[in-house]
Amino acid sequence: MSEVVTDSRWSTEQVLALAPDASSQKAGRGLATLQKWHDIGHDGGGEQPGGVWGLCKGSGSKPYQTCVDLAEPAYRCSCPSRKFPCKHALALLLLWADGKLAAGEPPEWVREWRDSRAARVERAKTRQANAGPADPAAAARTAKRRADRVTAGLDELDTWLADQVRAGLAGAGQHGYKHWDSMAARLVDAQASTAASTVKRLAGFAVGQPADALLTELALLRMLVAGHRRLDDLPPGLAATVRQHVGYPTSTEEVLATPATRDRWLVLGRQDEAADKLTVRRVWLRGRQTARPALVLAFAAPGQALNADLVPGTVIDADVCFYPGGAPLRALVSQQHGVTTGSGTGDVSGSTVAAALDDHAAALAADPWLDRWPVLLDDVVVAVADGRWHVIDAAGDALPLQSSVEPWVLVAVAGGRPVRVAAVWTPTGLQLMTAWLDGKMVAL
Amino acid sequence: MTTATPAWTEVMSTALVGTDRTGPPTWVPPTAPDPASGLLEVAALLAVSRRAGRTPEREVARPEPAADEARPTVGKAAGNRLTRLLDGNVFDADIRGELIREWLGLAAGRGLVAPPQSLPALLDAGRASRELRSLVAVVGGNRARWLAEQRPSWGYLLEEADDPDEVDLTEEFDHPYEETAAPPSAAAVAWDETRWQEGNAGTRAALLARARRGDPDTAREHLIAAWSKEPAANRERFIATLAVRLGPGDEEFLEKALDDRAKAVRQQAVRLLARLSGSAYQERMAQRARAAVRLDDSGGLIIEPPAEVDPAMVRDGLSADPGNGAGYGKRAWWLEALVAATPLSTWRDYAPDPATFLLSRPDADGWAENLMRGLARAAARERDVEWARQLLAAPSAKALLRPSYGVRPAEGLYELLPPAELSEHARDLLTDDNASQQVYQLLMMCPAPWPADLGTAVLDRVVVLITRQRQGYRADALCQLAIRKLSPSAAAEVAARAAALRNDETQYTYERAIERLAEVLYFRQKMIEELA
Repeated sequence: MSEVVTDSRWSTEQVLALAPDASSQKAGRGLATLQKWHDIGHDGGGEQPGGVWGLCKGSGSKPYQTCVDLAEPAYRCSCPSRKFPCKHALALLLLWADGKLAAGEPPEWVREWRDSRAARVERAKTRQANAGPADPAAAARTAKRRADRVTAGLDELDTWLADQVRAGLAGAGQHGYKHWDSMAARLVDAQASTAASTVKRLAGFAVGQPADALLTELALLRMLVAGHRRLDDLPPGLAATVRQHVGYPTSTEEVLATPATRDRWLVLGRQDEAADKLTVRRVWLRGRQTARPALVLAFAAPGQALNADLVPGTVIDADVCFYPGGAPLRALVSQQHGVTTGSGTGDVSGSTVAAALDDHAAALAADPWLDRWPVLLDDVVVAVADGRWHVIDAAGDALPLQSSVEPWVLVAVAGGRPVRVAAVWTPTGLQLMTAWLDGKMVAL
Repeated sequence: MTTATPAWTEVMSTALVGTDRTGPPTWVPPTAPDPASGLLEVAALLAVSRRAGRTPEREVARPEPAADEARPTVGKAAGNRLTRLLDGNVFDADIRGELIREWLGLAAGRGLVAPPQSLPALLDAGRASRELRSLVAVVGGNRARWLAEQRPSWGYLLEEADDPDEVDLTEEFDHPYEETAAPPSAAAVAWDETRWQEGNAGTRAALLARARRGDPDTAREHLIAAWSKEPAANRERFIATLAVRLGPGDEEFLEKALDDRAKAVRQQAVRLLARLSGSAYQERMAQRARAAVRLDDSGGLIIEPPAEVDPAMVRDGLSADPGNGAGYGKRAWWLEALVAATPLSTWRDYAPDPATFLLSRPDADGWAENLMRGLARAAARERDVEWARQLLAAPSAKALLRPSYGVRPAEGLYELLPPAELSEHARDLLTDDNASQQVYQLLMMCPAPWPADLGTAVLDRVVVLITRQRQGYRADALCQLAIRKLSPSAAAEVAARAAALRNDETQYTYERAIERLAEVLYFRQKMIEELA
């Protein structure tokens, strides 16, 4: 029953969270037995992440070479699987998480892989540094053409918005999807992709929700149109926020070129959402020193594995670059220096409900379109009132969960005692992601 | 903005109706291009300030925390294994069900509770499967009860006893408790009037059963005192506890229960009276049996089952319409039931060696099978090993494997045999190609884990069947049984046999069956280790 977790080892749950799908989890577990492996070991430990490696017998004569670099983490396996990480890498990590691997020197093939990977990273950096706009004049012409198109699309949206209010929202539920989708399609043509998705989502607000929600969304769109018209007069941060919500692209290079924020970031949790033709993964971080939230997005076509580098419950020492905006939230991890993995929250401090709402209000002041805000709440208990679940903090302040959620796992784990929870605050309530009880993480 | 900011509700109601009909609202800013756009501008300001100004709710009451757990939680590895089983990611649903049951049984036996995060899924599993419930109640601990109080769909749990000592007593009806080695301590059987008055049905039944172990007469008096006020479901559950140290003192009460309003209670009374040696019930049944099975002048046997049942016979549990599930007619059922309730000693009046006499009679009229089945049920009830051996050795013993009301008469007989003798029966039948159904039945009756030599014999048979054409499915059926009955310590041997088949040149359709058997056994082996 005793449980020895050294600081750098991951928990089984954390390893399983890396799996691209349930069948990989199952297969990985099936291989996580020492009988199937040889020449297996790990290095690193303490603050040094190191790696794990081993040879796994497959169906062919030659065993598969599998190794994982724990800092990123990065995986390599000689098996033909296109899943990422593959079952062999998962099994290896499971054995390591279980404390079954002995420390040792990495064999030759592991060292070679590490060297070649380091070289590749170096090359990519150099390429990035050398790359610049090929033809500044052409780029400016493209940008101008795009801005014109967006302006035309948003003007049409403006008329359309006013038409909805003239006719009255009482009948909005009667419209079919086409009513919303054709406006959304027009905005896609106008290259205002984010605004287009917002319009597409209106169909959901029009049916089965209080009319408040629909009016709010229409009003926020109207504000976006107005903001876009005054783009040149706005302060740079707010202008960037408007551009982001309209759907102007920001290149990765542009983001990585901004000054990085280095901190120890607690991975609060992640949320996967199937949007049309694309699965979106939102990974929420919170910095220890900066107390800043960050949102890292990943996208994948349906059936394809999402990037699973950021493991909920881990604390990463990393450089993070934020997308420009009034209340910068979306970010990229530009360089990871290491992972510290206890099962606790690594000294990242949480807040009260009141403080979290204050932070949210401040963020709204800079980005009024913000509709998701991560919170890390200390000492909350879960309780139900009038059929709606809430979390209540030590001061007695309560926030409702989203109405569709019945958080029984959290209720069971907490048993009525206070826990720390990571959640996302939205206009319709909290979305729970992760909880910690006595320093132990529970994925929800 | 020149005019005062309106309330959100005012903006809302204007927007619902539409500005075409309301006309331009007074609060629309004059800078707005048109009333509708102006309305949206005002709405945007209000909406964002509503979001930003959201205050916490203050009126939500904190829940009463769960009581601390008196028993320790299982280790982490064991908890993870339970979660895997409940998540449904391993094996198929049937095997998972078995393994969950085994897991819970092991944890209950060690006095451990399941980890809290597994409880919602565990409670759902208990809701879906009645037979898991008593184990869920024990292994779920205080936390599971606390959860069940909060969610109606888990409320079943509150009707189950949660003390590990209590569960076996309420569950196992047919095993006579008086055979347990050590007499219980006085404290263990002490009557607790508060629990009797306030406990749930499971707790109260357990209390009765325990009290029966100490003083059966006083326990019965407690039951009689409450009897008339109890609902039928409770009466059925409570009367069953009289099986513990059943004695002549219980007869009067059980006789009255034959007239109970509830059928289930009457059935329990019949079952108990049939087991009560020297009861008037047994005598009534013996009288009827002697009339149905009698000697003629030359000492030959005449069998003539009742042609119909009278009300007195119905009262004694002979249903007017017994159904014909096993292909027998009414009269055959009545014959079987009469003989089953008749003391075996009755037949000593017929011949010095009654078993041989009754079983070797030529079957001219077609009743022999049901006579034998009745005798088998009587032998099981009286736990008579000699009769059991003779019945199982009879040429037509296969008829004992046909179920009557869900019970195969042979089962009760096999239970009486020492395990070595039992597995010998099974081994003898294993290689008989024409007895595959009987083998399954018999193997199912052999208690788990099978003795080593039986296990080896089954594996030999599995390998033979896999390599035969068109008989692989039989190997699969044997493996399904072995998953539950084979000792997990055989895992390595099974794996070796699976590997041998795999490395064989030929590809067999049912190779997978033995591989999966090895996987499940390894799984069980680890499960047992983790819960040791």
